Amino acid sequence: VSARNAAIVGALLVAVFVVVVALGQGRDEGSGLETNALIERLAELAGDPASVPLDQIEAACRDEEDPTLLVVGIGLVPTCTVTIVRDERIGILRLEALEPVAIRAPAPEGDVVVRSEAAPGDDDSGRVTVAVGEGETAVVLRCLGAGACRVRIAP
Amino acid sequence: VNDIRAPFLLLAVVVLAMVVLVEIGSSLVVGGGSRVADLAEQAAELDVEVEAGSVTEPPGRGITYLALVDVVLLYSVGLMGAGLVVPERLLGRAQGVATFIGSIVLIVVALILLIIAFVELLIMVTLLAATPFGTIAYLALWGFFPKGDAAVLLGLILFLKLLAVVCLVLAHQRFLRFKRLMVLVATSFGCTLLVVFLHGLVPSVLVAILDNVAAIVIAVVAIIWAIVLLVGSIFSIVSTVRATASRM
Repeated sequence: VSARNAAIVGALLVAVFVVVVALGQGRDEGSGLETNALIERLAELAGDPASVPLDQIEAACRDEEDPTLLVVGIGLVPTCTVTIVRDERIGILRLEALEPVAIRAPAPEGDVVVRSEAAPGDDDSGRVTVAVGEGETAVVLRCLGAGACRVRIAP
Repeated sequence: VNDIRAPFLLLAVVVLAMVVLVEIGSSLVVGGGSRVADLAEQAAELDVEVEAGSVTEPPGRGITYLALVDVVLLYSVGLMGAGLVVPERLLGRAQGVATFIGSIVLIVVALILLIIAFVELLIMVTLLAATPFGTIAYLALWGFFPKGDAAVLLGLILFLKLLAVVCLVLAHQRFLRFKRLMVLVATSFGCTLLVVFLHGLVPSVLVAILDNVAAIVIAVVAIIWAIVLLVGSIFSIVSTVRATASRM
């Protein structure tokens, strides 16, 4: 291999490096959670996450006739704790608020607690997705209005 | 062997050893900074409140996984360096067995790391899509990837690799004719550039996902190289056994 060939290979390497870095950096716009086509494609490949089965959910406020319905705020206690016990890592608890409700749940795999509110509406604002990790997770529901409120466990 | 400029070959081995050490130790240097305030800011954007205990920058996997490929390059160049001090006959015998054992270890380690990275990638994507509770969990664990730290380290790794290649050429230009070595060098550079490229491709909060994708690709590349080494070592062992048997 002559010195000339080695120089050409070296120059090509530098050019590839510059192009790769420029291509990458050029697309780094925004720091929020905007939709990204590449991540969306990955999510499609990963498929829909599994919903938490009903038999892994325990709650004192569960309706006796309809096990997918939670009735919160009946009696003296204004909250209801929904306990999920799992031996798999990540599952999804899909809730649909039929009346305004506040939800408090720990984020899986860390020590962060998240609080959110949901109220029924035309724009899916009543639907909340809670990610549940391995072991026991306690999700606390509290009615935002006066009296009782209902939350549906969606499939 | 006598034509080889030994100091440059030795320097190439030392520099490549440094590359592998920097990659393995990258998780100690990259990440770790507290980002509680940033998480609260992101949570406000999602219209939720958070009570955060500790939120730190993740170290990522891509840079660490580069060691899986670069250890093969270090081994190959190391064998050339060993040829300067170890008798050729002894080295020929030991090389086959050492490569056989080393490649099996590499396949097992890379396979385990591949599975870990793949499972983590699935968890990341699942959490990110589960708005708002899962998204916050994703942000707390992986949302604040230290791109700056990673870029500095990747720059250092690229520089060291270039230095190692220059040392190899200075040790003997004949090395440029070793096709397998040159393909291995190109693979090593390619993997590093892949990490650099993917780190710059998406907004900061999503970098950890593509860093894991890079780690998966690198683990697969390492497994392919380990299989190539394994096959080569089997041929080497068989020919050594045949040569020994014919002498008896």
